[in-house]
Amino acid sequence: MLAKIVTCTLTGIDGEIVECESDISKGLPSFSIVGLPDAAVKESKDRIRAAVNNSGFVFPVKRITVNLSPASTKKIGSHFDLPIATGIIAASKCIPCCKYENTAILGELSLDGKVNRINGLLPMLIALKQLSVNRAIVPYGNLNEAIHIKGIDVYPVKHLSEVLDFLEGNLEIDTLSVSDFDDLTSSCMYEVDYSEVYGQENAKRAIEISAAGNHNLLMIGPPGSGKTMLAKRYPTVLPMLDESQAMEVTKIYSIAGLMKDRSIILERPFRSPHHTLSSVSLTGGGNNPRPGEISLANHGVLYLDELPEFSRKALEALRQPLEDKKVTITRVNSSVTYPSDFVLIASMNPCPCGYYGDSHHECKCSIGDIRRYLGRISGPILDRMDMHIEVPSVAFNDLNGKGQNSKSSSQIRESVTMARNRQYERFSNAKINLNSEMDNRQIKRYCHLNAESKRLLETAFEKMGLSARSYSKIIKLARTISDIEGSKNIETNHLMEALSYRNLEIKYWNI
Amino acid sequence: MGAKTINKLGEKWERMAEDFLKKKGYHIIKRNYSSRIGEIDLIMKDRKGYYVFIEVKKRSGIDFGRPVEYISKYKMKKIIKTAEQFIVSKKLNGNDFRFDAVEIIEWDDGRIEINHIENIFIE
Repeated sequence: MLAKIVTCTLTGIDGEIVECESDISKGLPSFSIVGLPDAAVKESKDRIRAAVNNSGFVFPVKRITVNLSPASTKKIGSHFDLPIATGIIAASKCIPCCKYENTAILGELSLDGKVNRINGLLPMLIALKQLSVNRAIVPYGNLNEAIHIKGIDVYPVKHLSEVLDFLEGNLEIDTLSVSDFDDLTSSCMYEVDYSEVYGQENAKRAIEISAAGNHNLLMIGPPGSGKTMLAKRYPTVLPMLDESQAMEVTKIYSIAGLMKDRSIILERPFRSPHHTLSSVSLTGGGNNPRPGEISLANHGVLYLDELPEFSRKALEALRQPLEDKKVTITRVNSSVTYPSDFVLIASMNPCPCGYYGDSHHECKCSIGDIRRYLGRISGPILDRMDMHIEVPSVAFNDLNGKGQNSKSSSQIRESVTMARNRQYERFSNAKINLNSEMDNRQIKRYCHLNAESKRLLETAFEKMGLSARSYSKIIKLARTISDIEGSKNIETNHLMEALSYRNLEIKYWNI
Repeated sequence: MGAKTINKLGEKWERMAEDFLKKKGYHIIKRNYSSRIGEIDLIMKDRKGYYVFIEVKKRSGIDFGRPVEYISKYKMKKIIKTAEQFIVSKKLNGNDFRFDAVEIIEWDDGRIEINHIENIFIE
């Protein structure tokens, strides 16, 4: 007696079909699961036996062998409970296989037979759809994640007995009605706004440029000047996620089990991990690789507050994903790739006491202290930050709202969107979308400098001791500034503004 | 107490268990099957055709736990091994098998309680 049930497993953010074969034969009673199951799948034995017995079925006293094929891929997760249990019951009751052909089953079981929610449903459903499976039985608790998947009939279930009744045709379950992506986009709102930040117009300008071209930004300033406030509002000036981006972000959140009750993630992610985090929790990893903070920040913002406090190992781990926009985690028995296309915003004090260079407070740190503090940020990391800005303490007049009217998020977002549209248009034939993604060949093709600018850049290159990387970063930044200004070519003043975002390295790191 | 007395004591309770199961429609295949590996108290066949390997446990009172709690992992492994040996020696491959326990509790007032527990171990 053999039953074959279709289910799914995840490698990275992509799903792969797994066939769950249950064989029941005569012999000494035993229950073994083969096919490279991990700890959670092995544990499922006990859950399955209890759930089957407590749902009004009899767990067969036979020799039971369950094979999860392909046997060479590692099976991770608790969602194999339901397909295995269904397979065992189907095999022992001799339900004909045509009843469950082309039907994927996913779900975790409680001891009483209740079907519990699982992690990673969305990427699994997408994979099943692509592999032309017609129907999927999913936990009722995950219902909201499934409502955007077209082309596969989704049947939510609450209990193991419902699954069997449904397969035998004794119970009708309504398929989930699919809702359109466009209906949802309007519902997305932010609770914060840049109009609440008084003063700091320079910083806001820098943020506008950074958001327009996805340029990494480093803010240096004394305590209480508003660095965190500025950073927290960063996602409000970014355009909404489009459908494919939203799906990619939601996939990662679904795998990480961070969906809660949301159906799809429309807001740009904003991740601000505490500085005690380990390099593995930043990049992702573990024995069964899980996405880290940089992947959770995909298509959004990774904000590192108090940059020098982060462990060196964690910061250095950022270097490769920052360049490649993806991270490959390799472990002995698996290797997965997660996307990590984020913009890095970092903030820090200029010295341990925080007031070096401040106009109102005296800095109490020795030169050695300051050097040691700033030395925690390695050259390669500093080099990867496209823009360095100072965020000075706020003047009282600005704080009181007597200064000029501060720009609101929607105003900034408008100009960001316009600048981005210009970039999309320019790169419509290339594989990239934004200025910061240009490689050297594309810089040559899209960023023409006039003679004056060339001379200026040459002087700056020598005087500021720029690296080849910062040289190209400055040109990309100038390209973004000219896009914001609506200019077709890079003018000299655009280049000058771009250069001004690189001079803090000399002010602070060369003391 | 010599070894023989213990055997006799055990035999009394095992007989009681056997009679109890016979009333349920089981019939006896072998009593006290023993090999180099271990021993099985009763081997019977039930109405559905299952060969049932039975461990009998008796305790006076339950102050130190119920009798079945005294069947250890080690004992369980020994019984399974012995059963495998029995199956091979009698060429019973291809049949259904099961492991049961019969616990007998002798209460202080002399009352005797017998419980039959089916399917006690599948690893």
